Amino acid sequence: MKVRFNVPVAVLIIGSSPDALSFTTKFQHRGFFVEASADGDPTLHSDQVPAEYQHFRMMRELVFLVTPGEEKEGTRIAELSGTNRDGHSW
Amino acid sequence: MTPLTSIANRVLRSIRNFGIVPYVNEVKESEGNLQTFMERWKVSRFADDQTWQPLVPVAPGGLGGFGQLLASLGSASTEIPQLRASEWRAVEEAIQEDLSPVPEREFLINAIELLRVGNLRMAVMESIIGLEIALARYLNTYLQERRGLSAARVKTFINPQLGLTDRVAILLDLTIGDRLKKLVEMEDVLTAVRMRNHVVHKTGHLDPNIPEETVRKSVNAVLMLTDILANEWLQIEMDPTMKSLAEEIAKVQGVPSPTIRVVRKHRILMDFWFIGQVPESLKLDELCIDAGKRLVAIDKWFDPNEDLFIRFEQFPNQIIATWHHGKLHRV
Repeated sequence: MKVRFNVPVAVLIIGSSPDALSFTTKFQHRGFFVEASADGDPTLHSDQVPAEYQHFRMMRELVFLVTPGEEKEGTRIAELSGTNRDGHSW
Repeated sequence: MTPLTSIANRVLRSIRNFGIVPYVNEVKESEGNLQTFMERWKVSRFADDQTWQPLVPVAPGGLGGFGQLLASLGSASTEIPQLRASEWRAVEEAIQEDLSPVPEREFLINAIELLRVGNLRMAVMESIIGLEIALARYLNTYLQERRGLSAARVKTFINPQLGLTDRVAILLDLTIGDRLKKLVEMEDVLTAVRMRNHVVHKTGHLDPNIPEETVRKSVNAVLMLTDILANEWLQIEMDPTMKSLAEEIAKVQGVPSPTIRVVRKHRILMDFWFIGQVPESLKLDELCIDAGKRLVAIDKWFDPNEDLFIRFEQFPNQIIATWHHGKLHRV
């Protein structure tokens, strides 16, 4: 069972190429497998600035995809969100 | 704190402190706003019918009350944070290794943030706290490792009675090299220290007669010095490892032992100095590739193509080749 959530965070990313502006990483956190990536506006370009800053884009949110470890997934999902199965806070 | 918040904060913290991005802050969760976060973050689960289902249904009308306030706060910032893509690697390392920033880094980011919003008094205070931390650590390590003083002697020497002005104006001046002195205006640093003392010991405020430009210039000098001292400390800490590596390379390659300098985290400058001709049989590019591999074995985040700069010099001062961006360049 996977859980997905998006954390709004507006950051202007600047770099020397369009590829340099994308970001994805994977890590483990307290028994969960996490994939995080930056999502946002399309890349823009300007040749009026130094080469290392010519490509830029707005990151609008961090997208997280979380997969629980081997424990009972129902429990893990509830633990992840801090809610019970009905969606109410504990 | 729920794991979701903890996961988000791990990434946000890394972007702020290791990507040097002021205004990106960790999420502060409380019982009252948990529901709001769940809605705002569009938390959903991958259900049995292979679709994403919201874990907490959004109330009709979307975010209400506190949620609206929170959302508006999130978008009301007049300053757009910027991240240089070249810092992604440091951010990724921090995320994956779950690194905590050194204390002075947090003060440095705070000071930058405060400078930008024009809170000069707090910018001075935060920058000086960061400097004090980095300076104390540097002096302790320098005096023990480079000057051979015992820990007890250093402790009696560097005590609270020795003020920050004396530490910077005298002690640091005696220990820091000329090369580094040229990088920062010490007089500006001392101006910042005096401003801090004015706030703490006199009025609680900055002297209104000091122009804003002077304050900003002084704080920038403090931040620069803090960064330099953090890197110098790292260099001293890495000395034994780099000395062993230099001996290893010299032995395996049959070359003079190189001087290895840790310019900053992961960034290495290696100098080979030959007296007489460089042996024709010596393949410089293979030597560089080997050095890069050995550095990766020490530091898995080291990227030889980005982080390794090598100079080959011949007596008395002729550079014959350099290695950078993964290639040998003959001069």
